Amino acid sequence: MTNTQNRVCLNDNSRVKPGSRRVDKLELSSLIGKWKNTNPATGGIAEIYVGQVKDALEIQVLGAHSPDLFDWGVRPATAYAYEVTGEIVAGFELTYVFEDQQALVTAIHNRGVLVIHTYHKFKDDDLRTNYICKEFFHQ
Amino acid sequence: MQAIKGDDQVAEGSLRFSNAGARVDLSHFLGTWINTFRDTRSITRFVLAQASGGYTITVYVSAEAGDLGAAEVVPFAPNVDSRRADGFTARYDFGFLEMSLAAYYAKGLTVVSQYTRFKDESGRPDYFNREFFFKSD
Repeated sequence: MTNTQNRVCLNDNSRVKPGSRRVDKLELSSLIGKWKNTNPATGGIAEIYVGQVKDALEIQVLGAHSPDLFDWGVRPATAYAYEVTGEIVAGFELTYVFEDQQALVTAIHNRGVLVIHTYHKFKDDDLRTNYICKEFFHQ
Repeated sequence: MQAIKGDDQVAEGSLRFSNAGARVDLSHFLGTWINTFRDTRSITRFVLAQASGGYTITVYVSAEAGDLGAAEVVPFAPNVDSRRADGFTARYDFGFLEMSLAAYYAKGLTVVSQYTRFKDESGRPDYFNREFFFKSD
């Protein structure tokens, strides 16, 4: 029995083609740097810094927080490829945990646009509804 | 007032823009827009400008080719009760090739769809592509 036969495939896209295997490391360079919201009047995320530490991504989110920016902090992120044996990074995700809420940040890169979905989940909050925010960023 | 669908009808009591020739305002779009994809083989940037009686677009395709010249822009509002543009169309005709642009605005990005039609019987198929542009600071 081969390695691939031992694995559960949730769908056809999860199958590794015969003769293919995972690359040793993803090519991350297309994401590295500062990303700025295309909407200067955003009330969501104003800027995102994407860094590389060894073979992993490190993210810093800056929220729009008039009149300044609110630094969410630097956190490691999980990087994803476009396909199961892909070599190029397609996006990333990470979760910020704050005192009163969690913010799941997901990103996908498409032709120079970083599309970010942020899922805000509040703890013990009878005022605020969990919500999703979709925004676009450029370098 | 004829209409082919509900969206073509102005809201009841809305007479604000019933004057013939009411124009859609594109002034908030004016300026330079840059392709988010640096390695594009298509439009690298475009400039929207005011012209006498309307607006123009100047499209830049590459450093070598320069600009394609100015073309008339037709702005579109999101509905018949608004006159603030949410998108626009434009058309270039080079004789052998015709390129139609249809653009709309979403959260700081202008999404431009290009429809390129060949008229030179070269056998090249007409094609479509879509690119994203952000406003230059």
